[in-house]
Amino acid sequence: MKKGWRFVLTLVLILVLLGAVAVGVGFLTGSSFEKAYNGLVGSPVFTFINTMIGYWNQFVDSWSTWLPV
Amino acid sequence: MYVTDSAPCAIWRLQERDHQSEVTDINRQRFLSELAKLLSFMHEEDRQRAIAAYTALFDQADDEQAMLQTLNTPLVQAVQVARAYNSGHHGDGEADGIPPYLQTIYDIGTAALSEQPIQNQADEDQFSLFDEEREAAPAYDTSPYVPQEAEATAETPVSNSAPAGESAPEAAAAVIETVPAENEYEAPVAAAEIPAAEETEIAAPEESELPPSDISRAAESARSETVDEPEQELEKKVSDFLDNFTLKTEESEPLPPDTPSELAKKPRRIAVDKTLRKPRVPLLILYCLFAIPLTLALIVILLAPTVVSLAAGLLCGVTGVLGFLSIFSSFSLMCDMLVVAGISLILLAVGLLLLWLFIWLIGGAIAGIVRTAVDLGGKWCYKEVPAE
Repeated sequence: MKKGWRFVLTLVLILVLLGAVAVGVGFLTGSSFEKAYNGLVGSPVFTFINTMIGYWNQFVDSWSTWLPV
Repeated sequence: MYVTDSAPCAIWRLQERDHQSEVTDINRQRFLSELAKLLSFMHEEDRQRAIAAYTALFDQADDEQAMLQTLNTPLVQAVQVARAYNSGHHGDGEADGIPPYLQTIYDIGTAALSEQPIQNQADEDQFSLFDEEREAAPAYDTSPYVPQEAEATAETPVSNSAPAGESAPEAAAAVIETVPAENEYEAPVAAAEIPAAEETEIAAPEESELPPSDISRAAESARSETVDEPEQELEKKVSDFLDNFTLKTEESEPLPPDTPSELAKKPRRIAVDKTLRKPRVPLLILYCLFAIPLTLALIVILLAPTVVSLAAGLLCGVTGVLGFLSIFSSFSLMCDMLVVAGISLILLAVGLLLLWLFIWLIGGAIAGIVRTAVDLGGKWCYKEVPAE
């Protein structure tokens, strides 16, 4: 278990450092959170996920009418 | 080559002999004391019997050093005695009133005493191989295996080649003397002992007048007169040892004087596998009444962060992977790509950490709580009782 913790923490640290460096370089080269968010929301992957979440909400709403509240 | 007749060499031999006797004494003491320590699992009376038997074994031996070499280490002897002791500890392995462990020591002693003279003779041969005095001795005296080969040789057609003028035992002895020449160790010595005249006599088969049965009988008598002496001595020694051995073991003597006195005062230890775990029923019921709800409550408390960490880890991981997938489809600028990739990496790292936390909570914390509760119950509510 100790070795597992050491391995996972080392991997997490490396990933966080790489991510921080990438975000820093991105901001330094002219990007921003707003531009990144707008790009993500407009991407087909997130559009598909949003669509699936909408279907899930409709499904839950339809079953909630049958549940005794 | 050794200069055996010189005075310094003789003095050196005397010193060496004194040194060897000193070393033998120390080794014997050490052997017996270590053996006594190793046999401490036995009952005191049985242990004293075993030590007395080993002491008798050393007393019977002519060369204690050879006996020590034959017995190997105290650990080896202790293992053999322990096996025999455990096999017949409850009385079912006893035969003729002798406990199995004493029977084992008896067998070891018999084997060791029968091996000892052979080792001594081999050592003497090895040392005196180039000594002139030793060369004059008959070659068959140095090897106990010679008589069997001589007997086999006496029945072969070669044995008919005894000279007519010699008596039957002398002819047989001549035949016997030719046999060690085929032995790889005695070949040079035996070849040097046979004169040229005897060789010619032996090599003439036409002059033989004795029938094969007489030759074999003569070989038997010669063997019984000369070559069987060491075996008879050995048998006598073994029988003497056995007589003394049975007498000493039946008397249950105290520990030998060279055994440390602390060992005699040492209390008998009970083997670990001879104990039983007996539950304290009221305490066990009380413990179950308190421990089971407490353990379940702790597990439920730990299940909440476990499930949360699993859900959050999965969410972070999926989001990070989707962010990576959307980089190449939604963004055209490199700076935006870098920001999204960085955030995705951080999300993946957090997701990995949360998933590992979930594994640790399930396999480490919750299993640890259950294991601790069981261990504490076993420790508090059970007692070890010696087995009857």
